[in-house]
Amino acid sequence: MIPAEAKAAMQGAIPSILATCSPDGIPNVTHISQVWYVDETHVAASYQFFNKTKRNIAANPKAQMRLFDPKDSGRWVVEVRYIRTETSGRTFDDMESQLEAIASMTGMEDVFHLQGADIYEVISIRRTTFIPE
Amino acid sequence: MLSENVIDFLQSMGGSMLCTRSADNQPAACEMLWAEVAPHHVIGMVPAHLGAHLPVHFADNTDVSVVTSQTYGDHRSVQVKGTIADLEGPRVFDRSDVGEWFLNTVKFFPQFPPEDVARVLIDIVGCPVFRITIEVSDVFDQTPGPKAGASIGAST
Repeated sequence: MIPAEAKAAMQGAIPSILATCSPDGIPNVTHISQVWYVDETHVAASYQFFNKTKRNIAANPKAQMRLFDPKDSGRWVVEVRYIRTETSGRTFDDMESQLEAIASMTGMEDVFHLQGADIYEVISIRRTTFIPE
Repeated sequence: MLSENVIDFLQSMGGSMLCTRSADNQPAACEMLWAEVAPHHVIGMVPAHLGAHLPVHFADNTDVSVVTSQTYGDHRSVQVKGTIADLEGPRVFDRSDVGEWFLNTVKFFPQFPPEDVARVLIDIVGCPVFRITIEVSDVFDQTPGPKAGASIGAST
């Protein structure tokens, strides 16, 4: 389901957006350092310290991601459902390595630490642009 | 309410991400450009093709959240929560409608060449946009780190 051309937006070059909503209907939106390609129907988001987001997805798994293509103004709108959080294993280890690189490049070594890889099922994904094409 | 310091920060960034939700609590985010930032309300412009979901959400509820971040630099991030007071459009605003917004927005992007900013903004002005007015209820520091999530302002 995830098109190959969307993978460029999952390499950590540009922070992504994660939108969630509490059970009582209060939206929350935050930047996240990483969205990681897991397989053709799943992605993982870096869990670092966004506690409101964690509380929201635990109670309401519906979320939306916005991923930015580093080579143009394209962006991917990804509707997802939270499934689980992994704190070990290949996905976690790969994301931890990439996050260390991102932290080093952005001067955030003392702040960015991966606590978990939040696994999401991709419900839909579509590409759009900031200016209409 | 928004402090003077937060207002200066939001205006210096120009762009933001707007988040609303459907009747069944499905959130949706879209890009928004600040048109006006005041202590108790903010106004933004959303290109129609990015905010197509807004009328449906606004018909059901007025809950809204907006985040503005300095993603390159010090990572400062501020989240504004509130309610949608008005959603106008989408329509192509003519220059007399958007003149002040246009001029204000150009100054929000000092890090880019003015001619590049102007070209992008002209493209946006030339396409239908929503004009959304938000009454501010809460403000949070969302800068990565131990203080993330701290309240830095509430409605009074």
